[in-house]
Amino acid sequence: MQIDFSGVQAIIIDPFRCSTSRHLLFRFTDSQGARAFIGGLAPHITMADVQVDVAPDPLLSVGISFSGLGSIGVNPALLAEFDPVYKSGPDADELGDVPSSRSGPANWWDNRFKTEDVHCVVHIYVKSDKAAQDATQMVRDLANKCGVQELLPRLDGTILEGRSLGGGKLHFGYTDGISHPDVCWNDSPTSPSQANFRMFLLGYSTDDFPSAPNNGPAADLVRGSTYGAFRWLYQDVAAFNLFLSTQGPKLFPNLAAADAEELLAAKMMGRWRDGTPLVLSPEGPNSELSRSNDFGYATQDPSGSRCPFSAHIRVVNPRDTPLDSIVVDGVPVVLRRGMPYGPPLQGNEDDGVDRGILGLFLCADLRRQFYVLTDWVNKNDFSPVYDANRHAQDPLVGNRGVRRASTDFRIPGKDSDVTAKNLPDFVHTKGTVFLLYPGKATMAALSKQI
Amino acid sequence: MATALNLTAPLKQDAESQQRLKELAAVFAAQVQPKIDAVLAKSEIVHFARILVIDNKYIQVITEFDGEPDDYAEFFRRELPDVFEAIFALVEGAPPWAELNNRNTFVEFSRKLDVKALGTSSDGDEERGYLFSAFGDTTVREIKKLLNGQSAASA
Repeated sequence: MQIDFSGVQAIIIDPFRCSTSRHLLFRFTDSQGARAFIGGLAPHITMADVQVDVAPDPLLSVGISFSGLGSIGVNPALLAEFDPVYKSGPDADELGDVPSSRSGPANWWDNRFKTEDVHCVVHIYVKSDKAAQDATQMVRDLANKCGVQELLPRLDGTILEGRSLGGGKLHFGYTDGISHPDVCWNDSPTSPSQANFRMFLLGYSTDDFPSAPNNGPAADLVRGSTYGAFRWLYQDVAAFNLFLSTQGPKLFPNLAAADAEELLAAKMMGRWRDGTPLVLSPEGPNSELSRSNDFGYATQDPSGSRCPFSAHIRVVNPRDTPLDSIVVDGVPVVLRRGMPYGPPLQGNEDDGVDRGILGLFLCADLRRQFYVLTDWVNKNDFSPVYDANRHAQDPLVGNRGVRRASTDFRIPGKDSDVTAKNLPDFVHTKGTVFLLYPGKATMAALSKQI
Repeated sequence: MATALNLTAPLKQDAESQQRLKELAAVFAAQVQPKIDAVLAKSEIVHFARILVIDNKYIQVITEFDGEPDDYAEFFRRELPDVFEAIFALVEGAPPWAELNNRNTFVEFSRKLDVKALGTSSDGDEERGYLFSAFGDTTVREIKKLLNGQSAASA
């Protein structure tokens, strides 16, 4: 079978390469208004039969939370069939957002509302400020008409707005968007490494690729939809830069200070900041390899002397690294869509300005795919290569408040190891909501009484 | 610190279910135990495991293992589906195996049946009760590695 792209939201199939994104959060106040809002939005949502790279502004997506589906008035018998993780909403333990830490859910959304209040998120992607303003106004007008309340998640009353920093860069200076899963959107994969579309689209559940709702009317309702975790993540650039400048020269005393900092940054990510994989070019960045994705670890770097075992890309995508026998589903795969927000930090002192990433992680099974990744990030314990320290964390995004988390970052070398000590938190969660990204037929059904 | 699973489920009391329980108990050592043994060894995370029947009213699966309960539940659902199907067929209120035999439902149902031990966990996890371990955080893999090292040294 072949997926009908006209029925699937484009954001699931392709990343939107736009300079600006806006993420409007809404709370439904009554079911009739909620249905009218979804029905009114539906014709504006960019579907996957559109060529997003050449499509005119704006590109729109919509996600609806489980509490949102309840407010719409979806039949409880159908709701009961949904993924239990989606139904429960974000779990701080599973995410590593330790309640007592800054990332704890009690601090989310700048304390302006609770996650359960978020019923719907509309994502607007544009290439110009004018288009951003027009699209925002269109969505707000529709919300007003339907009696849908906008939630403003920031203390200053502004919305969440992503802005490209240019060159695909993120605030820590790394290049993003290099590696995306190769998904086969039909049942005739061209290579064994292609991911099955059932890992991302609901309503096609099989024994090998299960998703919920599994079958029956509830599965019919969500066919062509997917689940997503929308995350608002603050990045502490000043702390990151300070860590590099103090630890880099200590760890690599034979290098010039700037080179030592760059090497430490690369070891933490697994790629040089231009994108060059350490496995392919351990001595320095190579522009010819900066988009390279054709490498593995098992034979090319079994000792971790090129790319440390805990480096970010080696944790979230361990490729051919041998896994523990308990890891029965193999390496989890999610579709990542993200954009930086906030201005770049000028200088080295923290300026108190909010900046980071607005990330969206799409998959058909939040527990099997998304939570496994957040678990691995916060505890590297999924492969025998971590036997030396099974409480190590991803040095960039792990939450150090996780029980028994190690704050050591071990960097294996050819002859001897070095270890960066006292890793701080570089990333703090400011909000997370689990959403259903409805396909065209799902949106049509949700806009009626079901 | 290892994680404890204290899965405790009420058994169906009708005559047919009780007869099947008797049959399961009769063949357990010869037919079920070897399968469980092989899979537990393969997992490399289980310290101890046993299955108990109390007065033919409750069945318990009690284990101590390293890592996360969800991963543990999924591994054993995949590796021992026939064993869990046989056990849950005897459990009062258990969904039919066709419904239970997927990751989410199995994990949710296992969680529901997991009885929290008295007391508080030494690692601060509020969802877990007290569990004593003489080995602290040492995992099965580490213990086996140390034991293998000792054997090699003494050989």
